[in-house]
Amino acid sequence: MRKQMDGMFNKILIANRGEIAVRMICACKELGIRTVAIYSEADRDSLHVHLADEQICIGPARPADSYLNIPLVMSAADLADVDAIHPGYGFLSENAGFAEICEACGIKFIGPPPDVIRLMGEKEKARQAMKKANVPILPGSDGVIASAREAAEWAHQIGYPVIVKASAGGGGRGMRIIRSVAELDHSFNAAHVEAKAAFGNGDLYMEKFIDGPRHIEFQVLGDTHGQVICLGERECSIQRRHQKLLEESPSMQVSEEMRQVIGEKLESCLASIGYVNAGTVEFLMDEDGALHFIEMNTRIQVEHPVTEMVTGVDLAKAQILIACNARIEEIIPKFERRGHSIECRINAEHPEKFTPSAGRINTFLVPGGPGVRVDTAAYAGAVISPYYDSLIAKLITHGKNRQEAIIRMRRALEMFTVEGIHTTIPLHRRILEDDQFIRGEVDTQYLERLLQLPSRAHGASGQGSSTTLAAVA
Amino acid sequence: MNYTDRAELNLFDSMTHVAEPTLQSRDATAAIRQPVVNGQTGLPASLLSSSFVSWPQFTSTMVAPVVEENVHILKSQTVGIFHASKIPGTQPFVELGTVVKPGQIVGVIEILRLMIDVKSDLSGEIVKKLAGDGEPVEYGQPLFAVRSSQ
Repeated sequence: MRKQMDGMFNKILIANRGEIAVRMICACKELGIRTVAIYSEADRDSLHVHLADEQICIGPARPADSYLNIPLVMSAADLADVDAIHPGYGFLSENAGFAEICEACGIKFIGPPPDVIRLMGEKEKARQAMKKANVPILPGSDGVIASAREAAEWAHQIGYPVIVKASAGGGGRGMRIIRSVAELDHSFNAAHVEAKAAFGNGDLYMEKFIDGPRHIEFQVLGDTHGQVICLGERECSIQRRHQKLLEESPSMQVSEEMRQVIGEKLESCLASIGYVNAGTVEFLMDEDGALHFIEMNTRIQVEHPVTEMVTGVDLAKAQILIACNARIEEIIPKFERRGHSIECRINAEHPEKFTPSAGRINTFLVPGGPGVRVDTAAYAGAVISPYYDSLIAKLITHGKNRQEAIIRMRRALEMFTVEGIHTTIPLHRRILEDDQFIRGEVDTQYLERLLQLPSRAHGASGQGSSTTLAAVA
Repeated sequence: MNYTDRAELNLFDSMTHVAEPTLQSRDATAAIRQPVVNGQTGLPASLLSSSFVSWPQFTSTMVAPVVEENVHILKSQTVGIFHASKIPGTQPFVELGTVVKPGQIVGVIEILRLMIDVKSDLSGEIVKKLAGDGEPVEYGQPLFAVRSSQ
């Protein structure tokens, strides 16, 4: 296997599927790099397989037997003789062991170094690293809690409600909200058992629990020469059960001063730990508008396009260039933010019940026109299989301000036709017409509140809310 | 796949001996042997044995009935390099006309320098070789056509 550390890669294997695999193929095509798609039996007719220069079937549909299986992915990389692997998001993207194996095989892993992935993967260590750099973190236990008795002491000091989380965890497992001392023993022990079962490590830490916070995250890029740049924030509060549904940039709640202060702290903190490549630092914003670090994702995010739209930085290409040792100032000679961008995740789900909707897409008409971007791997005739996540498209709009981005999103949603399966398009149309959303009054419980309201007919409400929007703007 | 220009790949050249078995599948039909190249395997042993590397479970060769009556296709159950013989240039495991029994080794597939036996899971005669010696194969790729003797 060859590796050209200082030249451009000749060939990259994309260890992922769906829209992110297509997104990376776009970047590679623009950089003149050959692409290798790996796929499972269920993805034989997937778009990423069709668009890549080479394609290798590596196993059956079950992710553990294909996309998540390191020996099979590496065997394909070996056969195709690639210089680098892009892991996308999900699957092996935050697996430090996989990054290490790539390194041992002389294949560049397009992402941070394994030890940095590992550091950020251990939530408590990540918290301490941020705390040391004066990045505001949620009040919490300093490190792992040894017992329920110690937990009670911490909870008393932090103040209820608190949340215990698995040190090695994610996705809500090993996590408990504790609202009073009466609940403490039971919840702490349950979280410990759950964390041990799920991650093989029962270590827990505790944080202050914020009711109805906003979810705000900052995009960063680090190069191999020690420079880290913060590319501003994304507002990702509209979510359901920790699954983001609509994201935008910039956030209406983040002032220029706050953006500057947090950005500089993140840049120096991440430079000091040797952060390389794209990453996202997630914060919760409390009702007083203060930000608190929660965790860092050491990969490209689903919602990266809204940052691309407002900064003009192609993050996918930047990831590849950084892996080839390019400097930030070569990739981003001049940095400025422009306008506002919104992304709606179009999922193959029932828009109100959120049940997955697998099946064949009969009609797939994608909107276009000024300020509209669609990242997708779907097409008319494609089959949405039940094995993978339900994201079928990301609809992104950009406008000179939030108002224009909203108006564009409304018309783009209206022009987006998907038939054969249920999608979240009707839900997004409802959100885009909602007064609270238009005023920017969103938090992580926003969607729950919206779904409790009776839904209005869409066609009839168009004009009425345009008036509302004009009044607010 | 288009790997016809891949001439440099001949991992068996420097293979000195084969240590087996290092890993075994659930039902032990597919033993995985690990060649030792100058005392070292292709990957650091620490990585291969680490907990985050989970090897796929190979049960038996996948069989699919085809156009001709009683002719079945043995398919590759993994992505790797197909080898018709244990050591290049030596006697292949099977030839056209070889009558195989269930469990008989018909070839090996190499994944990251690890050798996985390809075994027939039916009785019959090899009527066609569908993958070339040393050729990269993907999951589900046809390897042999076997005329069942039942």
